[in-house]
Amino acid sequence: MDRSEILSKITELMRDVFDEDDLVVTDETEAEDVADWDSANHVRLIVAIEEVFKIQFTTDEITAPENTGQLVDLVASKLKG
Amino acid sequence: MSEMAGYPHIHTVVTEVLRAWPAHEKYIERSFASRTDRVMRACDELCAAIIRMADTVEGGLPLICEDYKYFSENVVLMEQLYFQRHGEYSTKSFEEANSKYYSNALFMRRYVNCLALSTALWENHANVFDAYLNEYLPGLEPGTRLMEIGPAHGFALYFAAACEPVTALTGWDVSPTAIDHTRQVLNALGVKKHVNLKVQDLFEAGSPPPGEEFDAIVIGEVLEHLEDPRRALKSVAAWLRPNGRMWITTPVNSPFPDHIYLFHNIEEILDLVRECGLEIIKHEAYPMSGMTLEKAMKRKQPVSCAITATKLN
Repeated sequence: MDRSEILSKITELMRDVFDEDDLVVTDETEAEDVADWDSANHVRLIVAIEEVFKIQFTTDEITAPENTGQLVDLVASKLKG
Repeated sequence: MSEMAGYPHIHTVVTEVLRAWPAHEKYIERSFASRTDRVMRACDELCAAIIRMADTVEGGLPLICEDYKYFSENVVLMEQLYFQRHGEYSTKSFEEANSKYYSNALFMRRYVNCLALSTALWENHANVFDAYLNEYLPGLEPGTRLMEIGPAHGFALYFAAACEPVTALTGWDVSPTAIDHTRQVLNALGVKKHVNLKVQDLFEAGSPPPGEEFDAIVIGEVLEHLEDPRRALKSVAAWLRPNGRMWITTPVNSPFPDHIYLFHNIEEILDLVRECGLEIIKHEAYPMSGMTLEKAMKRKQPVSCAITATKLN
């Protein structure tokens, strides 16, 4: 799965988790840019990503990404194994 | 933070929290965005008490705020993660909670300090506190003998002591450490009325001698810590006099390290209360900060339930 496919899937998940059908997501999108992206919904997003990509984040990885691009990179690295 | 203008004690606490934890600002803004003046005034009174209590402990308010940050980030977040992954609470028994948490003094200090601040800072907790302060306590009759089960940080007993109709106060907890902490807080806050604090296992309390029942019983955020909340509430109900008033609060979908019993919805809680021989006078459900009730239930996010109940003759 290439990087753009991962971003596309994460965008779908973010729209669902944050209840924003029209949410525009780029590599630079961060929590500050999304009204519902707080710590509780971040956990929901993480678990949704784990389920879709069949991966599991470590405790440190959950809070490490500072924007969506870093989250995409993290998923890509875990998929490569 | 324009919402806090006119509420100086909230402003002091929030300023200190954000000094310890700048990234918490967005949550705080959402939590305070739509509070009524009554809720704000209640929280301001609570924050005044927290500040007064903090002045008497080593580390003061900054330490309490650091504990709040640590516990929220490192403990609550991990429990939320477990809950979202598995659909259940991580701790399965009281014995497990006791051995992992209740015997750990540092953990418990951080926990109790986090809960004290969350009562003012988390919208659902603030709404519950407001209803307790402005609806439940003022509705008590003169000469009320009030008991709290699990007084923990002591603020519910403190505000009950400040309520004129309440003339006698009792607090029961199974933990000597918890009772000591409650005593310290009440002393720090200068409570004048005598408060009978007692180490007491609810399940060993039996039935009250005739005439020794309480007019009012408070059991806030306790049932979710127990393996068998039905048995516990039945034991508590035995100590309420007929037509007395009980204040019960417990959450739905609220993962904390020592939460054992998962209530999936509000109806489960209401059914349990009725099954214990209590009649519900009023109940309210308060979703977590910044969410509607519908959204919180859909997303399996915490909802606090507050109930005023009575026991019929």
